[in-house]
Amino acid sequence: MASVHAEHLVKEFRARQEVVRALDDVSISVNDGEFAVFVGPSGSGKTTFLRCVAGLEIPTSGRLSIGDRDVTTLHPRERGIAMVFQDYALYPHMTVAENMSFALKNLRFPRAEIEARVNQAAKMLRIEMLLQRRPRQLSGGQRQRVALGRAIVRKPHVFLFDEPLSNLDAKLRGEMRVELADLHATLQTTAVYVTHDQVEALTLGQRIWVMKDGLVQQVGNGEQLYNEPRNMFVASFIGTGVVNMLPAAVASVAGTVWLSVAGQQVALPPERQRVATPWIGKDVILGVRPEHVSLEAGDADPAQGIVRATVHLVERLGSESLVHWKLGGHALVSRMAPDVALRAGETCSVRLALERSHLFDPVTEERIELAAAA
Amino acid sequence: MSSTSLAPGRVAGSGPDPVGTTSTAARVVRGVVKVLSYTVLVLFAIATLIPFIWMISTAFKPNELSMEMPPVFIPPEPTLKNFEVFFKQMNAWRWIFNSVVTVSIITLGHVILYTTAGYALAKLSFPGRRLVFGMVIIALTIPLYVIVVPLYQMMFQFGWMNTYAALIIPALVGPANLFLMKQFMQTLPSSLIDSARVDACPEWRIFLRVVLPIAKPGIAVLAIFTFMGYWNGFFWPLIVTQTSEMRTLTVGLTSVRYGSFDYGSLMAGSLIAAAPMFLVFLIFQRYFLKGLTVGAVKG
Repeated sequence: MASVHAEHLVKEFRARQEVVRALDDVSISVNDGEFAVFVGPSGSGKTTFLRCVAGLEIPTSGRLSIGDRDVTTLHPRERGIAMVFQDYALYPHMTVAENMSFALKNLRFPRAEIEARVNQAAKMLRIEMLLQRRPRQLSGGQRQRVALGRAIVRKPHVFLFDEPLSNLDAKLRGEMRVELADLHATLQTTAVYVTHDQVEALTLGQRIWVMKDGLVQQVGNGEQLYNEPRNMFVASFIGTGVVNMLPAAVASVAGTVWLSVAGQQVALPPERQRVATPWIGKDVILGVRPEHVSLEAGDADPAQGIVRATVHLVERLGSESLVHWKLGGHALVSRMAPDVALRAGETCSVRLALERSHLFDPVTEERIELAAAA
Repeated sequence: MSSTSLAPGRVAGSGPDPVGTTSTAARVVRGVVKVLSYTVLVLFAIATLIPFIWMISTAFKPNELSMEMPPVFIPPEPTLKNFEVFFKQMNAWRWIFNSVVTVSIITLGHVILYTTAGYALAKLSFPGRRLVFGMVIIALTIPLYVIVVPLYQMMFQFGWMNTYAALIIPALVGPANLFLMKQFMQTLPSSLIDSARVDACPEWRIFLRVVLPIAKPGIAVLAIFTFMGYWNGFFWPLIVTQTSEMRTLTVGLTSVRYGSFDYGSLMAGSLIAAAPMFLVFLIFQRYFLKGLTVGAVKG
């Protein structure tokens, strides 16, 4: 086991005359034994970072260390890592046992130890009966286990996972998430896990690095990222469903800070008043998650954050309903009960839970609470 | 039957019965077009097959029947006499030996050179890679006839005329095969090579243990195309060989054609020359089809 440290890591790729910076001065510390998840959309730099840690890419500048060793330019075999690839990358012409023992043979381990380690890993992953099969004879889930087994037999300092569940169907993905968490709990080996799926990130990661455009946007545990997003990108990326981003203007009436949203007024709760005060007279973006928009009886009540909106569409998903509203000229989505009795065209009162919402600077897209704190 | 089963003869969501709305005239036109298409295709197939059938037939019939009109396709008394004449009166064994030796070495050379070069161009990163590939593309556009005179002069200056070196060494240069293998290697998943690197495998061993086994279909296509191309090769062996002992089978056969008009032994020799083609095609026809799509589709 070992920690992973990246200091001012830069990775540039040259494509003809253009230079693409995939990692832009990234500094990261993953603790010994930690399950670290890197999440972000395509092109965010998360896989490039993983490949740098693996030694499959050499950083343009910066320093990488695993444990106390500087591994920046070391060959992958010298780093004490094992990697699980997105497409499993099992050698199709080798049996499961040969796949699992390939690295150990390359490292010239004694035959008895190779056999013992392969059998131990196969037992742990319940694939003993598959050892003589070839990858094409396995299902997606079995291949995934073999790929994990191939990594486990190495007894590496660090496990690297490159979107290992993305090729599985939803049910199997859920099962494998649990198995991966169990496996980490058993082995306690440092893991660096890359995914674009925020559910995987939230369920597996002890700490999550949210990445975009080669930069780390925010680091934290799932709760921190959900409740205290640093900017509009993190707020949109973490959490289920689309976050409502509503343009709003901050105003002060009789000592109370109000928001004007789509022509309707709502009062900010006391704890948000202080951070919004410097923004009086300015425009902001109000971020409200669909689960923080609720149906209310009665008329609009600005003091309670209740506004009038018209139902545009109701999507009934079985366990819940997604209600699409028209709020002035803006779209608003709310997550509601599966049997909510609403019809398109109906105008109702909805409460925006402003105590759980966030205000963002429309220019920098940063959360203004952070600007106030700074 | 479950309650959700559809009633027999009806398809859920289908419109009116299509049979009822199709006019008889349209069906007749479609039928006529189909018959005409098949007729043309069958005629083409016959036109293509007749020379082969005639070659096989002539090889096994007495010489006096070879020019009979109308042609006799099935000889009343098949004979092996033509083969006997071919092998006894000419340098046939020597030509076959020359063909086998040169084509085998050329094929092996192409497999070794272009599997490694294709892998390097497709999967390894090195300065000048694009330049090298650009030169390969340019080389692809130059036909043999443009370089044949300087090449001939080179052979002459090297003192290689009428030697195996002249038959083999210039033939080892094959930009088309390099292009083919580069395109094929590109379809192999890079993650396997990355995985082998993480698995502590040295680069040469990655090529031998990981790349070569999964590149077998591409290598088979390369080998078959090279073998067939050079087995049928005529022009270059004709100009660099001067004695009957150095002729390849295809070039040697022309001396049968021009030396005498013994069609029986000429066709016997032609059948022997074509036999490897038939065998290779019959055994490896799935690779031929794969060869047509190498680089065009993934996987």
